[in-house]
Amino acid sequence: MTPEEYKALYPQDSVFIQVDDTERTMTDEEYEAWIAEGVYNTNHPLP
Amino acid sequence: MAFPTFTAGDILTATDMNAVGLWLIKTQTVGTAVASVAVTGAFSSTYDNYLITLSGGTGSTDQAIGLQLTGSTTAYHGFLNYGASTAATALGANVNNGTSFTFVGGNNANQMAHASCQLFGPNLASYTKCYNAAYQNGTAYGHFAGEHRVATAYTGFTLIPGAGTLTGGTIRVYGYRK
Repeated sequence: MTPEEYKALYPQDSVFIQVDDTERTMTDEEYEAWIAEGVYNTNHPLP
Repeated sequence: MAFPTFTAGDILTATDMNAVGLWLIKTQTVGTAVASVAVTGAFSSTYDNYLITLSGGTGSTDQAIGLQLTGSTTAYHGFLNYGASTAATALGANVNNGTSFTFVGGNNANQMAHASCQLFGPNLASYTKCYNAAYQNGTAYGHFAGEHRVATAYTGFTLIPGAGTLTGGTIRVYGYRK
C-alpha cells in the first residue's frame, strides 16, 4: 500500500485523536507521521 | 461472614469490603475513527498494579494495538510469542527500545477490537512491567510481556492501533487492591 492509497482510505478530516471524551483532528505533521507508520505496519506484518 | 459468598440481606463489613481484590477505576468510551485513545487519571498511589481491557468496538483493518504511557515515547522493551491459527508453528517478535508496548491487543478487520494487559507499577518511580498482554493481528494470536525502562511515575496511557482506526468499545481500568 502506498501513502496515497492510505490517505484515500483515511482522509485527514476523517480520523481523530482522542483524549478522554475529547476528540480532535490531526495536525499536518501528526497526520503525515501517522500515515507513514500505518503504511509501514500494513506493508510489514509480522512474519 | 465468610467472603466471597454472601446471602441476601447480609451487611457488608469493612473486613468484607477490604477483601475485594479488584476495583474498577475508570471507564472510557472510544469514539469514532480514532487513531489513538488517551486515558488520563488512570494510575495513582492507591494501587500498584492494574488490569486494562478494551472490548466492544471495532478496528478498521487487521491490526495490533499498542499501549504507551502518557508522555513517554521510547524505552519500551519486550517479547511477543505468537503464531497463526493456520499453522502449528511458534513465532516470536521483539520490541527493543520501541515507542510502545506494541502488542497488547488487536483485531481482524472490521471485527471486535480488544486489548488486555496487566501493568505493574506504572505510578511508581520504577520501571513499569507489562504482563499477560493478549495480542492479535488478523489471524495471528499471541502473548506479550515487557517493561518500560524509565523510572518515572505515570498517571495515564494511550491505546494506539498499529494501522487504521478504532471505533467504539469501552476501555476499562481496574486496580488490584494493595
